[in-house]
Amino acid sequence: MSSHEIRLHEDQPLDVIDELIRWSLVDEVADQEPSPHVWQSIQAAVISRSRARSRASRVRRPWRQFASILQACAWGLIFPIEASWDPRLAPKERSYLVWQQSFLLSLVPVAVMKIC
Amino acid sequence: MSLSEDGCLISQIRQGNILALKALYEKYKVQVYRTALAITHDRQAAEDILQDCFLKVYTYSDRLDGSLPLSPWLHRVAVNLSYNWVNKRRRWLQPLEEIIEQVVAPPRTLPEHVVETGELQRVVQRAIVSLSFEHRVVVVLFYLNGFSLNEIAYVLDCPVGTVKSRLHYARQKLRRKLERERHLLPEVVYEFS
Repeated sequence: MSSHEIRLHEDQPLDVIDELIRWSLVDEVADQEPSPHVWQSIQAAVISRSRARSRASRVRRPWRQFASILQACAWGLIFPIEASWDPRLAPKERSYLVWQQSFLLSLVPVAVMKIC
Repeated sequence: MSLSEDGCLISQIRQGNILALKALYEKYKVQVYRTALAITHDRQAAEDILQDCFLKVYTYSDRLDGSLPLSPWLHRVAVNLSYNWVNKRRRWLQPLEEIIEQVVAPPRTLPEHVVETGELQRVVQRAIVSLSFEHRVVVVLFYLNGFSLNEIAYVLDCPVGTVKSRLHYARQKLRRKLERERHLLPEVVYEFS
């Protein structure tokens, strides 16, 4: 008696129906094997996953995150410096003053004429 | 190959060794495939389940305990995947299949024809297929794989008492179904005694 039959005895005694069920199940799948393409599919999926995983781990490296923070800070500093150097991006007050001065100078002849 | 070798292969898989995965696949492919086939009765589904099982081995290799046997874990995954497949199929295909079977079903087999072994096997297989998923899985794991009640309890993630009761009711149902084909029984006794 096999160990499997002994285990079956723990529950209920082995009889013809049990043997019939086992025979039917074993016989049904006895010669069945998976086709070779199953392993090929597994291999292809594993390779693509490991590539994706290594790509993701590269992106997640801490020095890369630090570099992107540094880059953001650099842009944040460069813009105000650039703005202060470029006359086109100078503060509006300054351009207003220039306009005011030229406007007042243009009024000088009128004022002189009125005084005279 | 011993159990410790399974654990060794799992640790190699963790390091990305695909050959270790292949070694495990070669060891368990037939067992897992036949279990899935016996549950689903569909070769394509059984192959898909086998593939998904080993992709899960690769994906969850970090969580696998190398000191425990791999076979029950693989069967647990296979049974869960089979359950998903059977449920999906039941939702979409079974009503259509039932209609087709009603339309093109062969006339009831005569007793003198049933004595052939092929027919006997078909009758038993039909009886097994007619069981509910829970009962069918227990029957397959017990009779085909030869798992103990404790192992089945692990695979199904339920108490041993539940496995015992499911097995008991499954056998009772099968017995009733087969006894309805009463003309088969003398032949059965002849073949198995």
